[in-house]
Amino acid sequence: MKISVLRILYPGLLLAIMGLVIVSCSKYPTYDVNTSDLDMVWTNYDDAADFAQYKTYYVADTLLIDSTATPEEKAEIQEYYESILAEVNSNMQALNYVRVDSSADPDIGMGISIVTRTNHVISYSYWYYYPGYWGWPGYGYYYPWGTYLGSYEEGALIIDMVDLKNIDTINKKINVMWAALIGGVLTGRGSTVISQRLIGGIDQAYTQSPYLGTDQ
Amino acid sequence: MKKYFLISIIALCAVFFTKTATAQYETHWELQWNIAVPTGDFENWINETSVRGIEFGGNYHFETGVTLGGAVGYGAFFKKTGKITVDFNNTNTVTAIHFRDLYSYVFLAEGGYAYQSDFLITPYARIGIGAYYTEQVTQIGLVYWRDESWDFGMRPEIGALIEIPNSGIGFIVNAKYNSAFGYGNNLNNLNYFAFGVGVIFGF
Repeated sequence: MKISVLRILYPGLLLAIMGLVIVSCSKYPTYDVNTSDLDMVWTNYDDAADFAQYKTYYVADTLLIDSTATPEEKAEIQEYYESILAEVNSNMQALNYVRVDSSADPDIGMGISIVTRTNHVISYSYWYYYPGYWGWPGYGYYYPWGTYLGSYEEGALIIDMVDLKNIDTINKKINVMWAALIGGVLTGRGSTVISQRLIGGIDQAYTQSPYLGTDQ
Repeated sequence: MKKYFLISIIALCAVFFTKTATAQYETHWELQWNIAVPTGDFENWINETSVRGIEFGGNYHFETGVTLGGAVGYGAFFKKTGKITVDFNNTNTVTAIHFRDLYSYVFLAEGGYAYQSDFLITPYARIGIGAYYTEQVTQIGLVYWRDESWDFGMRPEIGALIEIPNSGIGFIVNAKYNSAFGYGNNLNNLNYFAFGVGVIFGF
């Protein structure tokens, strides 16, 4: 009796341990990854800037879409435009900044961009168009903290806030005071949930930037 | 009642594993599955138990009970955090879920002592000294980075070898404490417990 039990028990244990050893060789993570798990909100700012000194801002009526997007992608992205702009305005006004037209000599210029596909979020051609929007064509775009924000592979919304009160007219440079990258918002398409994730990301960008705001 | 039950179990085990002759150990080989638990600063980074650990090793048993050998092992640790906000480099702030992976490869020379008795169970204690290679992967959103590190390390271990009579094979159970000294990459140390169960053969 003892021998028959052992004949079953030992090979069984042996097989069980060998099985565990083989399965444990895997490097594949044990956690699941959903599309929304890859969302990210990244903000950076010029710590020399006193945001309370700025009262008004200008944001363009159209959304900048980088030139690598297909017409279908541009049309799809354009659908998000109204909610993006409304959310940015809502957050800016909650901080007591007043939206004005570009002809009203705004203190802050704002740019909103969508990056699709693989892009490094540094010095791309579409940045070039911003100064023209703010009434300063031919001017450069300058990040005081260094240009590198990171890289994103599947779509990102970028919000920039530039200093139009202190433009470097000698070197033709406009200083970026604040930038937000909301990444991953385009990783899944064709769902209204994405829009909610996008709006949530915009709100989070402002929430994690408590240094923003002004007194009117 | 519980006390008597435990005594009965121990008595049964003693009878079951009693040897008819003292073993003459030479070299035996070990293949193990490890469950690992991070401690210290490593635990702050990944506070989840790993079930992805394997190890292969061999030890020569001298007649005095002294053992000399070595082991190579692998352990994988994974952690998916909730959405967290982190400040870095003074002005940067990132809110995202963090995916944290750490792969630890162990290459050790070992020395120790195995208590040889008339039982089929041979308790032992060892200390391993050698190299720890660590691959640490951090992903925040779709951005990720990878660090590698070679470090000197040490591992005390206690355990037992359980021989299956007249078979040349057996089982091993043990507890080990791994320390990779001087490990960097945003962690002040790399320490973790590993509890192994495996098969032994070759004696």
